[in-house]
Amino acid sequence: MAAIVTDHLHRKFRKTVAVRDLSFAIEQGEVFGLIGPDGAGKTTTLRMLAGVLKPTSGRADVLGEDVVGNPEALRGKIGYMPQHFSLYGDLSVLENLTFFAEIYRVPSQERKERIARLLRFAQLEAFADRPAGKLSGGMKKKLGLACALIHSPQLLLLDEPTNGVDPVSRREFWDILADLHLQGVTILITTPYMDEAERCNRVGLMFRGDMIQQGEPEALRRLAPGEMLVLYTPALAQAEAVLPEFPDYIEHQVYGDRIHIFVSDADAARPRLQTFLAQRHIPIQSLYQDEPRLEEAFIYLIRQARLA
Amino acid sequence: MKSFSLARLWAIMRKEFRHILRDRRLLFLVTVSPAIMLTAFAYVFSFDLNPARFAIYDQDRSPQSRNLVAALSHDRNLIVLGEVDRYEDLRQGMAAGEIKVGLVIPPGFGRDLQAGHRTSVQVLAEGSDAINASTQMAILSSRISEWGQQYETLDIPQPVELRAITLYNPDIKGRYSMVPALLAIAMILPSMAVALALAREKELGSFESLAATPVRAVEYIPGKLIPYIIFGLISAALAVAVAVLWFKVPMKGTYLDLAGFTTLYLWATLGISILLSNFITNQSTALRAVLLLFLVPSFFLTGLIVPIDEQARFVAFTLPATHYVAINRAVFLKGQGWDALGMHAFVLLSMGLFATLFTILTFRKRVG
Repeated sequence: MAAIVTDHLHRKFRKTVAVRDLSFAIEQGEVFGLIGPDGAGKTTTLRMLAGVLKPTSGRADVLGEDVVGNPEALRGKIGYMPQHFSLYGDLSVLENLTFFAEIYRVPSQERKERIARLLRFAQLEAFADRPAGKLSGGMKKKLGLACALIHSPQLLLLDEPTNGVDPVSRREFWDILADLHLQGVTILITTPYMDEAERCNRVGLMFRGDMIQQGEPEALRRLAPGEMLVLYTPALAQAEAVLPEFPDYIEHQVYGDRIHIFVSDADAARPRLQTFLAQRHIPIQSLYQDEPRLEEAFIYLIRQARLA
Repeated sequence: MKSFSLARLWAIMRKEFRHILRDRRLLFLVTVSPAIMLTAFAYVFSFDLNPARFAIYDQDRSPQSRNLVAALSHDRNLIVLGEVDRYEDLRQGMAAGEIKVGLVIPPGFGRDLQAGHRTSVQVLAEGSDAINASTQMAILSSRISEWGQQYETLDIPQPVELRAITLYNPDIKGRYSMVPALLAIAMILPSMAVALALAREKELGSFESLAATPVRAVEYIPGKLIPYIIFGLISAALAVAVAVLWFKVPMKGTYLDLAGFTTLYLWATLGISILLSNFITNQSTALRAVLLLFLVPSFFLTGLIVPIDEQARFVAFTLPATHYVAINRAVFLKGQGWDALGMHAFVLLSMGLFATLFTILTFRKRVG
């Protein structure tokens, strides 16, 4: 059974279309990742699904309830964690959790045990009395998640929950999500990190309000154009300038000190590219074939979408 | 009202109390600031005068006129600067600013009184400071009338023609009528705080978390209002203490009545503020809205400083402060209660009730 089904979900802000006729579905128990550049419409989508933003048109059913017509019906069943810190900075960790427990009417006999479990879960036991505003970025996010989990929701809507968080906290956060996934909680998460997208069951790529691709990370990775060669060179700018003249060239992407070059046949292209660059006096530190990651596939797909 | 939860209302209230108690500026705003504002304004808008200083030109020099001069000289609210022998001296003294008020007793004053005829005196005032002049004239006039009562007969009820009767504030202490009225202005501060509180919730983003929860407007809005009404009453108690203990404003009514009226006033102003901030998403706009819609008009239209203008009567009626100014003056100076002030109380109650209901009905758990 589907946890989320949207049908031509559409949201305009004055004249700007934030989300355009979005139709997609998420199965129960899935971890679904929404990715895309800033302004793609990810946050708007999540807000509409959480029932805090009214769509301009279209329809969305979340856990079998009509979000547009009756958002109140699903409040108790979903946990929503907005992008920005949205707890009470002057209340302590414990007071924040207690507040949300009261708002969600968690029975008082269960409350204590559940809060203790979430504190342990989020590794915040030592900070229970600290004002939420004085927590580190990673701890704030974990507290946000704990508050969104206080009523044991069946569906979690998480808007960039790990953005701006250090790698260790990020890993811990995903360990928590993995636990929840095992417990059968459906998770819809937006993230700017590709390694996180690879941990999802399925991924949707949003661009300019559209979902331009969706599928399992493995399948999306294969949408990268052809095979990939990785070139390390000190003459990055010159290499970039001449590459489009290379006969077998499809596309390239720069990643810091290296260029990822897409060609139809990597084995055949490698020696020819070596000669091509040598003729133009561009030094090669190394040139080897590698598997395209999700990131390369997405950058390619977004470039294509931009051209279209 | 389905699925109204007292537990949730209580959770919101507890949270608001914590916000207030932990934010020093907010705590200041909802506790001592009205008392401080009242004190400052009471001095700024004090039309209390030094004793009326006046000169006398007694053209009559009869036993009666001397008796009047002597009576006036012994009044602690009056200072007789001296007597002059020429009308011209009075005018020159006024031109020089030395004399503000002059009393001229005409020839035949004593004779007329003796004969049981009506007579008159002239009071001159230097009008460049109008409020000052009129108050001093009023003080002098009432004293002369009082003095004249000894010559009253059945035929001539007012032997000395000069009437200025001032009820309830016989000493015409400007402060006595000003301080209770200023209380209405000072008590607008808590409503500023509540407008800020709702706007801040939206600005800081906690509203988005809250909007996704099952909390309802019938829990959220009263949960926000009640703590501010309670703190508003505390701040009102402090301000009233200042009025009574520091400014010695006589309290003829009961404190219980005043507390009741104040609760209604707070409900009305806080309710309207929360209604405004319902449509406003940031703190500075909320603050300006309250200042512009409450504080400024309340100063000029509610009868605080100048009597309510005929044309502004409708606007004045819609301002909660108008009613509270009238209530406070009546409670403090006349000792009136619910019987006499029921109309004002009813208007305030309606304002609070409608503002709250309208806020609940228009409240949207939406962020965009």
